[in-house]
Amino acid sequence: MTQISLRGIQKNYAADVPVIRDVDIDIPAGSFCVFLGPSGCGKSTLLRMVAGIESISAGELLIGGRRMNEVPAALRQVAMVFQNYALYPHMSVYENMAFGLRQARVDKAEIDRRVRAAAETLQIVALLERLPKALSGGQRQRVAIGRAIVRRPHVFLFDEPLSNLDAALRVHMRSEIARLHREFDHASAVYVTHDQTEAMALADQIVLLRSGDDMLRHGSVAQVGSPLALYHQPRDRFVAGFLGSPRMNFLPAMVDSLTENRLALRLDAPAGSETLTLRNAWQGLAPGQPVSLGIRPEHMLPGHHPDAGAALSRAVLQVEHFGDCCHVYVADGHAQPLIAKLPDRDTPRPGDTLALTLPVHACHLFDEAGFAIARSAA
Amino acid sequence: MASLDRPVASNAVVTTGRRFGFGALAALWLATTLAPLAFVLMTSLKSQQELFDSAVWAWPRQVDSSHYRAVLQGGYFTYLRNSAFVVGVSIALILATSAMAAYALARLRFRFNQLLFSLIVAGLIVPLHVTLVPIYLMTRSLGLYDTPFALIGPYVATSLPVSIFIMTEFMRQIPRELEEAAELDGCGPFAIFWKVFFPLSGPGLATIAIYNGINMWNEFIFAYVLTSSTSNRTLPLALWDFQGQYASNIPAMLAVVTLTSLPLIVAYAFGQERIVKGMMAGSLKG
Repeated sequence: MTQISLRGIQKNYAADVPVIRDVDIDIPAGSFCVFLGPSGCGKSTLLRMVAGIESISAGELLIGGRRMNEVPAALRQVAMVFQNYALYPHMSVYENMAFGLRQARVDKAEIDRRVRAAAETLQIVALLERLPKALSGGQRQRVAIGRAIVRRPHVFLFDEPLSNLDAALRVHMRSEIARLHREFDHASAVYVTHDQTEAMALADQIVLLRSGDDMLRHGSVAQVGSPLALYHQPRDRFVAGFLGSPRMNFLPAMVDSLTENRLALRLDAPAGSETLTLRNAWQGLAPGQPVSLGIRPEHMLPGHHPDAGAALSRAVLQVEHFGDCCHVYVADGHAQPLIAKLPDRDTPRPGDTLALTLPVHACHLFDEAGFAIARSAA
Repeated sequence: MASLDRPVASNAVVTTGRRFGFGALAALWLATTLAPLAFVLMTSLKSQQELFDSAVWAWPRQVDSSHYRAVLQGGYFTYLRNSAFVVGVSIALILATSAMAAYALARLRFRFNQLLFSLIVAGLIVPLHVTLVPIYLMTRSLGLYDTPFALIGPYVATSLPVSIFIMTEFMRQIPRELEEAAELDGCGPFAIFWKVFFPLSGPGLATIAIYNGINMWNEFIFAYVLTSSTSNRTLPLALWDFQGQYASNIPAMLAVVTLTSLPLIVAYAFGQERIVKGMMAGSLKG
């Protein structure tokens, strides 16, 4: 069981311009950790630093409690599955899987035993003599995973391993990876993806990374936690907006008045100012304070439900049908329309007026700087 | 419906016309490339007398193979052996040196990498003949004059700039992930080169082997300056045996030309697919 710790990790390419800043995370032994973030946030770079194929500009990397900054990649007890598989084109599947063990001068019989065992697990025994060019995308991915498995690493690293597969195969391979991780429960896994569905489905722990100016101001790590913690208790607007599809709706508002139990927010509505009255579930608010009210599309309820929360009435702009649900776009007087994810039956039509209830328990308030306002203990 | 059919019919006419046009162009190009070869072969089978009293493009009235016999009974096999040795050793050295240099230039990070690459490529613009006298003097002082080894050094040195240029560009196309996977599998820089990059560079290596091999096989000026005795000459100098100060045996010289080209033609016939692949290497992704 191997814990991975990153302490103040930083990466600079040009002098003094960090692409990764202040990464302080602990990945518990045996857990499945996913680095998630938008393009350019440095999630692959961070993974490559753990692998040892990218240098660390500042900070300390510990694997199993041992400092690894200067340890060569081959000696870190890690194995990596690359986005484009990185199989050696001139070697057969067997040779690809055996290559690392041959380099480590493992006994021939042991190599054969391990390769065949891994091939059995991955159901690729019939492919062992083939060259990579004779394999489909899914088969290549299995070989790439097999090449990692035979080395019996303490840490598995996956760099967007499913991004080159079609949608159906991606779902299948996702569950295969989850199964393999359960079978190899001694090993920790770090997985990079920009696909939040993959992250939510696989992770014990998600590390959500920021990019650009936000990274320079606040550091690379936006939030670390379980998938549900990030989904239900986002630390800021970036986290709230990144997780969830469609993304969370944000309504600019101002605290109009508040008591211990009641909160009135003034919204900029299409037909002028509108007051929304909710049960006050937050701490530290003050009258006149500008806030953002966040609500996920799937949490909005059609119709008026006074017991659950306050309701808005808006004109329907567009409806997208998916069979199991539909996305209803309603005008909000801002550049971005509000989106409600509703059951796909008795759906409104464009031009209709739709009442939507915002349940208090599903509402999030963010301050002017974008940080989540804490809920009161009750 | 008729109006729908008409464009289909005219498309078929266009396609047939285009095919015929391409076929005619290809036939013209084939004739242009084969004409010199046919001329050399036909003339080599004429007697000296027939050469002067018949039209240049006339078929031989009587096939005269005496020139081939004379060439084969003369020093041809010695020249062939010398050419094969010099070209073989030179190609081996060019492949090994250019592949290692290209790997370093394409993949290893070190100071002045780009500058070094530029200097090597700048070697392409040095006129060959400028180096002739210094190389002659160096060869004499090293005691290599009039040995097959005298040719290997200049051949390798003059071939390296273009070979390194081609191989560096080729190796830059090999995905970086393969190098990183090998690094994770425990390979150092040399093992990455030898076990991953070298085997994957087959098409690039074939390109430089063919390109340089043809040039060296036909090379005349260095062979002329750096060797003098019959036992150390290479094939292009075999012509020498049939050229006097006042007269030349032209059919015999063309028999030498035919026999000199023959190994290349045979090599092309058998390795055509590989050669074309080599020439096309790197032109397509994948």
